[in-house]
Amino acid sequence: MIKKIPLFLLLVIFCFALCGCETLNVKNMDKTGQFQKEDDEARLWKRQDEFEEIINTSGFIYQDEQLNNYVKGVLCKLTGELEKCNNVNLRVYIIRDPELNAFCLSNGAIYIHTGLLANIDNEAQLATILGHESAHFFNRHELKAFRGIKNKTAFLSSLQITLAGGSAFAGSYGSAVDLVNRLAGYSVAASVYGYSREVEREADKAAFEFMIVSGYDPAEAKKFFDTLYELNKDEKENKAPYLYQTHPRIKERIDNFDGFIKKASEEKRMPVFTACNIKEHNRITRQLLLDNCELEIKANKPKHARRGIDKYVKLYPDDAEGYYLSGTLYLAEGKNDEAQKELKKSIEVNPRYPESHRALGMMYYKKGDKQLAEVEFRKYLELVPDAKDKDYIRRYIDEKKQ
Amino acid sequence: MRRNSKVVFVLAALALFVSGCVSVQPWQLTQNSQKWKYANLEATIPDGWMRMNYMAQNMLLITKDGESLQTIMVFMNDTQYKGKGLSPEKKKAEKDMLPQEIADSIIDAMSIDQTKKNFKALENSPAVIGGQDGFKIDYTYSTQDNLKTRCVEYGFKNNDSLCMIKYDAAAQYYFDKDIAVFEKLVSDLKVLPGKPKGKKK
Repeated sequence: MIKKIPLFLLLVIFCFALCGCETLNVKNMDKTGQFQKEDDEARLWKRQDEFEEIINTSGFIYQDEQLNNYVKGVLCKLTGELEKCNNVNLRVYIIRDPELNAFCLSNGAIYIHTGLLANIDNEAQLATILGHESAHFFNRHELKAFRGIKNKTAFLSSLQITLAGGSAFAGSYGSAVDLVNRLAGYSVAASVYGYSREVEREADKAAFEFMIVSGYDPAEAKKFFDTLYELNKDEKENKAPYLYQTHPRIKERIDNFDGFIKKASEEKRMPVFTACNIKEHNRITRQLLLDNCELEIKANKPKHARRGIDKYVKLYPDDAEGYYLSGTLYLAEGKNDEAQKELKKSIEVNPRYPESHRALGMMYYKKGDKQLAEVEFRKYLELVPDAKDKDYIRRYIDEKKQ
Repeated sequence: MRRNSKVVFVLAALALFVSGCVSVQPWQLTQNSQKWKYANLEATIPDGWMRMNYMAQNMLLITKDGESLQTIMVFMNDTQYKGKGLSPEKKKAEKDMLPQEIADSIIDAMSIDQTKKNFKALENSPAVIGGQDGFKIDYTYSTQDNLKTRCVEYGFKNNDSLCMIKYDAAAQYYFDKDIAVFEKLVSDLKVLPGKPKGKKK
């Protein structure tokens, strides 16, 4: 009798588990164009359509038509043909957020955070990210993750039902419920935070192939991940364990691309003429670079902000805004001497750039040098008579008179 | 005798049990111009509002129609405004920050806060509260549940502490309904002479 109970239990669990299982044999979308949405996939897409709507109406989408067209253009170069074959439509949006992240929802909506985009140095590097993320869509990774979890959940549910029959298993029953609850929503989280090592490797491989076919230099992918690796050495500034800001996972990307490049070179498959389009890329991403530095300062990410500012100043040494941001960052770090130097440099480059006069005025004011402060404040108000903070500034000036 | 002692025991147990059942309601109706006092601050609570009982001493929270529709909050931040950074802002805050800089840092933090959708600053201007130089900020945002909300905050430095008086209400109907009550609370706020008691430096 004692021996019969576990055998009976095992059989029941097995039967329940089989009933709940759906096939994991999901075919990737390919050039045969035989893609057909399955029922659970359609439901998943519908849910992601709602998620897409929430993000797109949140006020966090970065509005820059030229930049958006440029990013969409690169995506189209990579995946346009495959989209056409399978009658699907990929969209790409930029999220105003300084974190290093990009993700793709199962319904074909790709999101790149400004933080990641600002660290991309050319079109080939942009193609790396877009290729990787679109591979998650074409290889239906979210559906696979969803089904994998569903099967596990079905198995655990059957386990719960079975175990609930015997009071002797009460303890196990409780923990099984807990586990099922924790697994809910995993597939969606995976699309945002990253999939398993194997799935991410598959996406890297697809990105590599997209790049070769489209004439982008895959060596740029490795360079880009090297940059991220350096930037993320000190992970204190990263809020969430996203794929592109977690040190070991970036190392995996570097190793993967290293391996693919080596193999393709041996097979003589590496493209001879490669495109990076650095000049055009820099022109289009110029404002984004500045805006993201500002976001990084606001989000207290000084190391990331410093890299962005240095990159901007190097590219545009005649623009006062770069030096102004550099000064602002030094001020936020409490380094007043360095801040003063940068703000003065900004005024030297462009004496009519108002923000530097304001920042310098505030610095003098706080140091107690109210005469110098007044000069800067007056210049500021002369340049922007309707400044949003004119009431504050007038107070500082009037205070001196009193 | 044995029976009596049993009765006494039962009565004592009952008394203990009943005393444990006395509960404090979370919200309490305010009347007769109740005062809220903390350190050197004194605020007059408007009559007919509900006051939250379970709050830290340095914080006052009241509502008229429910927390999700409108709240007024007064609080003095003793510990976080001492070079440790202004919570919830991540930005490093220095002791010598000007009111304008504090207001800017609050706006900066909210503009990147993803729980506040479609954030828009409507006003950031100097203000005098209880005779102290401070700031007033006015902004709108939508909550995660898409409720459009409008908020007015006054703030000032009270020695090493930061005092905030905040009105948060559903933008439609409720904001306009009670903004005057909030402005009256702000104009009546007293900052009494002397150093505010805070935690040890």
